[in-house]
Amino acid sequence: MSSTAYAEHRTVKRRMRLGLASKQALFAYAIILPTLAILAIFRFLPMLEAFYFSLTQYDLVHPPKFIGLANFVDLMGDPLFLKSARVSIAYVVFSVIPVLPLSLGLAVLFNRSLWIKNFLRSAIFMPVVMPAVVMAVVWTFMYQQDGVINTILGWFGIDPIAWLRSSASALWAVILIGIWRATPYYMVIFLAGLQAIPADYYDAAKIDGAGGWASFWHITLPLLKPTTLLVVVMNVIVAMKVFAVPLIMTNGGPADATRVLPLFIYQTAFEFFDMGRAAAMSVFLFVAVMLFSFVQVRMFTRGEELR
Amino acid sequence: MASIEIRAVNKAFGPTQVLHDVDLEVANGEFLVLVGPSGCGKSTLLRMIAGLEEVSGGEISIGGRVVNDLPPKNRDIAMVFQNYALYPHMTVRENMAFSLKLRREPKPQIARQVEDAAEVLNLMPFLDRYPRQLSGGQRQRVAMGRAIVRNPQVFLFDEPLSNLDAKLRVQMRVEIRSLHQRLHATSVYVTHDQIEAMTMADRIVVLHEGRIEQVGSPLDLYDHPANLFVAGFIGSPSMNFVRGVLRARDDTHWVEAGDGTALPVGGSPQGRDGQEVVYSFRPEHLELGATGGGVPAKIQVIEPTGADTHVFCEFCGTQICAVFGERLSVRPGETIFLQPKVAGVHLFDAANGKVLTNGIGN
Repeated sequence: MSSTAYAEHRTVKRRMRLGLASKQALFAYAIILPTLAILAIFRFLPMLEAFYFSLTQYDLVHPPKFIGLANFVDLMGDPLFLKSARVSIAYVVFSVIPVLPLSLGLAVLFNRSLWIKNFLRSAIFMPVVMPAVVMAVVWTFMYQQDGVINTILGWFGIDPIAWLRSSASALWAVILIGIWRATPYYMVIFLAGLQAIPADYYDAAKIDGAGGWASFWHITLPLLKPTTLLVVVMNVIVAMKVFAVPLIMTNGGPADATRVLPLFIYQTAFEFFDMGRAAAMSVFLFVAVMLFSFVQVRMFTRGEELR
Repeated sequence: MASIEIRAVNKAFGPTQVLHDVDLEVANGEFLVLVGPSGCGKSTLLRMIAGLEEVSGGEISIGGRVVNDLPPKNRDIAMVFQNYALYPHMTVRENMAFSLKLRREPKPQIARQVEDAAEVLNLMPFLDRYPRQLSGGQRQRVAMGRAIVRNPQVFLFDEPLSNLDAKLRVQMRVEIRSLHQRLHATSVYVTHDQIEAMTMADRIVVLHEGRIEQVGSPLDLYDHPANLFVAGFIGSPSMNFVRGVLRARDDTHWVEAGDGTALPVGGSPQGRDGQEVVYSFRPEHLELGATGGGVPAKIQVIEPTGADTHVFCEFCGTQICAVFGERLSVRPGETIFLQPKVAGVHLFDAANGKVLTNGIGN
């Protein structure tokens, strides 16, 4: 083949390859287009709109009026908002931290061969498949003065507690449900993470002289780091968005003890009809979630890329 | 250093018996290779020596001490795994130091031991890298380093080279062998690759369906296979088998192949006139006869390997392979005349596969 003919052959080949690549790209775009369209209409547009509303005064009846950052400035001096933010932070901290050891512990337990494993695994997973509203109603009954929980406490000589009626205990009651509901869900994620660790590493560790604790500490935990990051980030986001359970069980009371931010946002928008202020709080929550997640990812991946 | 003794060892997974009464001794400092097709139980036996699988019956001792109920860490063994099993979140240095760290050895001593091992294996430049930053051959070396760093009594290798490409495999084969010559550690090496077994072993154990078929030095197995399985498994290209009937008249013996061809047998083999046998010879034990001399064979495929020529042809109704050291000017479709060298002929009992005679010349 002469050199010109060869060069020509090469060009033709390259053109054909490019053609194929762009065809494949077009096909890919065609496939994701419907999803993108739905996301854009029902997710991104309302989000952008919320950003806009946060800069307005809007009561759902009269057209929105642009007022700049006034809503945000107002919020910073609003004791109700600050109280609600504090409740949300408490909810996040105390519902996320216990879930980690609980879900990981259960996952490790269920990763072993246990004859009753399948039954227990399904039983423990129940809270996840139960609708939040049903769950909230059932727990409300259980928390009542003469409910199951106080009855059981009574067997041990403990006086009945006014779970949902006392501002001292209501938040704890709500947090307990959050833990009860999140633990099995994250257990399944940890279980998937555990099963992705090749058995070879444990064999090698046994030969190297590691016992159960040493393998867990030196092999399991470090290799579960990506899973743990996922669980913490997801768990924090879900906890920051908790809404249905406090709405149904306490509606934010007593004395605002359980008025988490999402509930306060909902009430501001649809009970006080202050859309602008509610949108401003949403933006605040959005930024807070983003910041938290960003910091967590940075903390976990310090110095090394995720595997 | 220590010897290993395996006495009547059995292993069952539920109702499936994977090892049947295995008896084996590994001498102090010996390099023993367990070889067999997949599913023959070789890895299971190795894992039982390591303590990663329980012993269902029988006894395993290392250095005179029964280890059946000892956990791996108390057996003073090291193991190299098929896919290396290097901890991905630890550097090469940490991987190699892990066992020493668990034993709470003093830090300066750990550092010295790791560096000594790294020196031996040319791993010094990689000590601070993570396994994912290394090539397959380097990972393999780290796995070896992790094994030698604590100077164990026994090395166990579980198909350590099967993930490497052909060229690297040959190179690592030599390295493992020379490492063994330097350390003289008792080693048990599992592979399904008979070439690896032949080239590395002091002694080879051929396992098949959970039973030991034969134990011996590589050339012993090659020249004196005890049964059809070993004969077919050891050697590449593998031994040729032609079914026939043993004929004896006075002092002469020959085998009558299925198509009536008389095949020569030297000496006086065991077996009686009329017994069904498998007439066997290695590809290199064939002579090219002149036209009319020997058995006519129709050439099907010719594979020139450079060093020698592999000729696949039909011989007495069976496909066989013949290897010639010289280059041949023949083509597929042509007929050549082949004469088995009597000295290289083995006869096996067709009924049970046991050897009747191994070629007298070997």
